[in-house]
Amino acid sequence: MKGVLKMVCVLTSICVVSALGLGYVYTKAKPKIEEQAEEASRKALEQVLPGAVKFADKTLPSLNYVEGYGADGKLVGYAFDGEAKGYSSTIVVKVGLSPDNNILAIKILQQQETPGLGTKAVDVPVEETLWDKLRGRVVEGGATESPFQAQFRGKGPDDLKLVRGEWPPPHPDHIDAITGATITSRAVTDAVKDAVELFLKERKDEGAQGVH
Amino acid sequence: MRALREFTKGIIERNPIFVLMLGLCPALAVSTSVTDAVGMGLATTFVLVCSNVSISIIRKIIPYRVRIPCYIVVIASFVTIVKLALNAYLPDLYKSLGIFVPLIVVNCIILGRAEAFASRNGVGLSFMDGLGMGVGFGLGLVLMGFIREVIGAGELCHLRVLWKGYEPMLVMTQPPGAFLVLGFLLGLFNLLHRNLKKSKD
Amino acid sequence: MDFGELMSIFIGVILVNNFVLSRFLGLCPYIGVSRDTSSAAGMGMAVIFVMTMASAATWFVYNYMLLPNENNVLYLLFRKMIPGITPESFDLSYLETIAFILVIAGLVQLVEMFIAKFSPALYRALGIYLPLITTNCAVLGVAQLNIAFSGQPFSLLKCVVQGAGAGVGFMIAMLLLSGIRERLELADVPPSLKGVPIAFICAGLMSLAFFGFMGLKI
Repeated sequence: MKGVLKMVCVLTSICVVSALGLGYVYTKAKPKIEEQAEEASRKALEQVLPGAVKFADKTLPSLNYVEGYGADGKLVGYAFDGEAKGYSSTIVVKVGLSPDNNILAIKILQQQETPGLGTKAVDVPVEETLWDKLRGRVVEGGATESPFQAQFRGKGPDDLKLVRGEWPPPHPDHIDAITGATITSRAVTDAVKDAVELFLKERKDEGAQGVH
Repeated sequence: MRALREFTKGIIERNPIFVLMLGLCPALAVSTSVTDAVGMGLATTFVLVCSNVSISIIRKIIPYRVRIPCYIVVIASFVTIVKLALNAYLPDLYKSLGIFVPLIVVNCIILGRAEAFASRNGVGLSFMDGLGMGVGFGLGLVLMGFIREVIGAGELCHLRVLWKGYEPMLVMTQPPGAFLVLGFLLGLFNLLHRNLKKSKD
Repeated sequence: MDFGELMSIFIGVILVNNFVLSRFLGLCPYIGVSRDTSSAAGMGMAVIFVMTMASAATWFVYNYMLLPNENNVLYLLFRKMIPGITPESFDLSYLETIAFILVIAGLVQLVEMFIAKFSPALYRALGIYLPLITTNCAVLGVAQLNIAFSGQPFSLLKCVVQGAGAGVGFMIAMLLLSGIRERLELADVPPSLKGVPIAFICAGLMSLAFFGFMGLKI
């Protein structure tokens, strides 16, 4: 009996100590985690709305979006999220749309696709070599965006068609699929297309109401 | 002197991955790049050292029959600390290690060292043992990450190391490559061990 | 409930995202207990059983104890005592790892006692594998995958289907490897590769074969 009591006491006290400790660590870490998340989402916004420095949250019936304004107070464009089921995960994309309905840029926020194939949608090709880095040489002209995502720049809502096997871009009138990752490519394209269409439709409805 | 021996034994002679064959899941899963391997190695070392030390401190009051649940709670607490810290300060690493951060809890090395070493030895020795095992584990991960990243992507720490036209052998960064690399490395270690033994005789 | 979606989760987790061969979960028992087919089958059964139960149990714990919502058990308990308290103050989701591992450890213990009492034959078959399952990372892995990394939280049914499918996938991978290893006993393998190294190389080739299921549209 005494043994059992001791067992329970020791186990409970270890649990209590660890729960209190973790609670303390959590209260310390939580603001930092939130700050990081905020910074990440701000960075994503700045990436899809190049030149925007001020952001305003707006809502539509089934979509939230952000309006981005440049330093001169001019409207740069709208940013909103779209998602679609990819090959092995749900892909979430942030889309930046200019006021004349062309895509400014997209950024894939979340994906867990096959490394080496599907992840080509987000991988930025590395130009800089380790030797350059060690000798302190700076390589000019390296890409800052994956070639797949770069294709979306300047496309209108009707140009979002996926075509296979015409790599490399640019193609003015369609999106080219990544070799070996057609499903991922289609998911990204669909996510962008659906989000753009939903956004345009809901804004139009909203605008129609506004006129009345 | 004994402390130093406890530290070095984990690195080669009793390397957790290649000799004890423990903790294989993270060894295969997060060795796609050297950066991830280093991150995982450090995270595991931290948990291993902390859990070894705290279990060694409380080893006298833990009743034998509930020792495993006690160890698990201690280990899981440190893993949660690592998880929160990574999430707060290194979000990119946290994202790329993914589910293998919480899975440090069930890494057999940690529970194994708690049971086999920390529950029987003093604080100092347990610290050295944890550090040695952690470093050995980390070095194993880095070795695998090095082979897989160089061959599979032509990169090292996400910087190009091979010539420009190198067509990466994609399979190396994928699951089959991990199994093959580990299989051949284990074979290599066996070979070295056998030769060492022979030359000793 | 959409049957097709459940089916696609089930098949997907067996063939496309096999827990052992493409997610690297549960490798220790996979290599350790696959020397002969009968023990591989025993371990496989035990894993299916525990994974399914663990998926359900961790779903309840996560949704009713850790998440800060209206149904949080702690919130319902303390609501009367402390006026003006909101569910948000019971956000314990950072304790998920510790809670899951305790639930799994307790569950394995319970299952062991239950089987020992009601089906001694089954206990004899599974008994020695059960304690090993607590530290099988595939079980904690399925619990973790069920929550954070699937985007939206899965429903209970989906979690259970994913757990069962993952278990079945684990068993299939184990049975296949144990069949190969039984044959390998008779093969002329270089001495340094004998045992575990060659098992890993075989697993690598199997994983390559499972690549064939990639892009499977269900």
